[in-house]
Amino acid sequence: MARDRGPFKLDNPWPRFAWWSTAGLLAISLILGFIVLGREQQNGPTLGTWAAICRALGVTADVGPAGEPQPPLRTPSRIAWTSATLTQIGAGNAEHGAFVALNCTACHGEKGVSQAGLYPTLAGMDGIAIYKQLDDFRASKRSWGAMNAIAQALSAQDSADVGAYFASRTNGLPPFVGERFQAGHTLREDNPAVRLVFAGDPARGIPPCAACHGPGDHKLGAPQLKTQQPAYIERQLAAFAQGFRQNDINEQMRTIAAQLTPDEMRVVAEFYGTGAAVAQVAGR
Amino acid sequence: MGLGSIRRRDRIICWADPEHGSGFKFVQSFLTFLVALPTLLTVFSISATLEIAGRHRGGRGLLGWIGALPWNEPMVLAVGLSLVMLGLGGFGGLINMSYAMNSMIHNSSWVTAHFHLIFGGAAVIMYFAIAYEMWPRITGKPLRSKRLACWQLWLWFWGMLITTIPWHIAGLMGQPRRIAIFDYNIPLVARTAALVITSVIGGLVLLIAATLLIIILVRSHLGERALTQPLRYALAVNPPQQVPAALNGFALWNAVLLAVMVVTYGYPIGQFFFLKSHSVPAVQVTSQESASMGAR
Repeated sequence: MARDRGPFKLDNPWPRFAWWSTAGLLAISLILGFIVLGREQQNGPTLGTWAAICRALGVTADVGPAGEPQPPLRTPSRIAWTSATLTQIGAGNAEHGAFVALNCTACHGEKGVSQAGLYPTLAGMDGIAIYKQLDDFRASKRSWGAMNAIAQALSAQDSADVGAYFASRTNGLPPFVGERFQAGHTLREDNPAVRLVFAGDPARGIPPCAACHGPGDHKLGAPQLKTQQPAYIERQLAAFAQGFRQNDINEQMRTIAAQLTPDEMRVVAEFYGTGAAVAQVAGR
Repeated sequence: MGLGSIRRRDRIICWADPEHGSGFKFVQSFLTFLVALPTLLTVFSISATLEIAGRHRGGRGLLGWIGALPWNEPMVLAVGLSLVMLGLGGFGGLINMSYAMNSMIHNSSWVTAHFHLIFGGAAVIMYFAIAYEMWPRITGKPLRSKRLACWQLWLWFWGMLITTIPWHIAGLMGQPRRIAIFDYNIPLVARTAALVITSVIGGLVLLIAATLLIIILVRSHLGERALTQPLRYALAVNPPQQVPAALNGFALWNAVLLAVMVVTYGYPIGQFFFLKSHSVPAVQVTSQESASMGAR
């Protein structure tokens, strides 16, 4: 009997039925999916057959952004971490930098250790971070009256040199190298400063501060914060939150700071500045 | 995915879920719907097998055969419970496969609840029954207590229902899947708290059932070696006289399957190799990293 022949012999009715029924089902679904569905979808104008087939394939002319008014393009910083930039920073001359740094003492303190909450301590700060901030001041990507004028008077090489000088100082911020991450802090940490610095707050999309600013870890361009002036840290968080400061390349600090309450900004700044967890935030 | 891309996706209605054109999504939906046919055939043949066996054992009337089945046999009990879970999960599956209804439950806990019920329930409970059947034959040591084995199957069944039914509902209420932490202070999330706790209790029942499985097998293994009766296969009520060649091998059906796969997935996967809208710019991370090391 024909049906006992091999399963690929076409005079056997079984494979004939299998192939024809499969082809028929595919044809029905293709017609429904590619012609009927595309033509009759309720959320758009009725399309012609060819347009419906293109749309069902995902090939359409309207995949680009629509002609809505777009906000003007704004770059947060001129600095990109290319190897050329990093090579220039790495070649900074600390001796010449010491000479340039004579300009800084009036505000940033003798030997770069700030005595006032308005100004950051520069001694010991990562040279890459200093270089980026100076360029942002020079290009008015970050605004602070005197600094914009001072930075415009400096060349890129001066910036690299002064960065190298302050990075070589040992009397200020502790270096990233050698610091160890304080493991064991979880989201259940009672102290909000310790929780935010070492565990973050995933429910609000806040990563741990320490992941970029130390202690224990470090991202390119982020300054270390330990023993920085607490009032300065708090002020910068507020400036990021309110959009006064916009030179974070990937908008990460604006995103994070906008999620923090004023109390949290204060305790995080105090924690980094004094190295100790201070007064609890009420209610959290 | 940011809000911006959701808005953009909303405008480009020709794209359906996994970056497939809407036409292919429909074709896949349509063919998935056809899975209902073999599933119903399976349900029919299992139910019919149980009914015939029940009537042979003296069951009478419309439903009397159900009571006549040997429910204290782990294999029979597992088949019955598996069938119930397959039915419940199957109705949910009809929603998953649907072109339109899927968008309501897509990426929600409904999906995770569904596959736990179907696989962890309907499939895994059969693995348990197979273990009770095969373990004694492999080791030569008979099962010590069929009663305990039935308890274990019932516990697994109820544990799975208590776990997955509230889980489905939480998904319908909008709980997303693939999320590690829920903040129950948020009012929208707080509504699902009671359901999640019920699910956790169901999970504990499942844990007890799983522990019981190991206890049963280990207890039997520590027992006396005794010859068990040889494995007997079921006999067909209407034995086949002759099987058509096409139904006696997988060759034809593998070929049909390959053709269907090429038609339905060939273009959707191939498009990634030539459509520009799918390309992601390459970011060199390593070279920057090494450069920064050199700068230090």
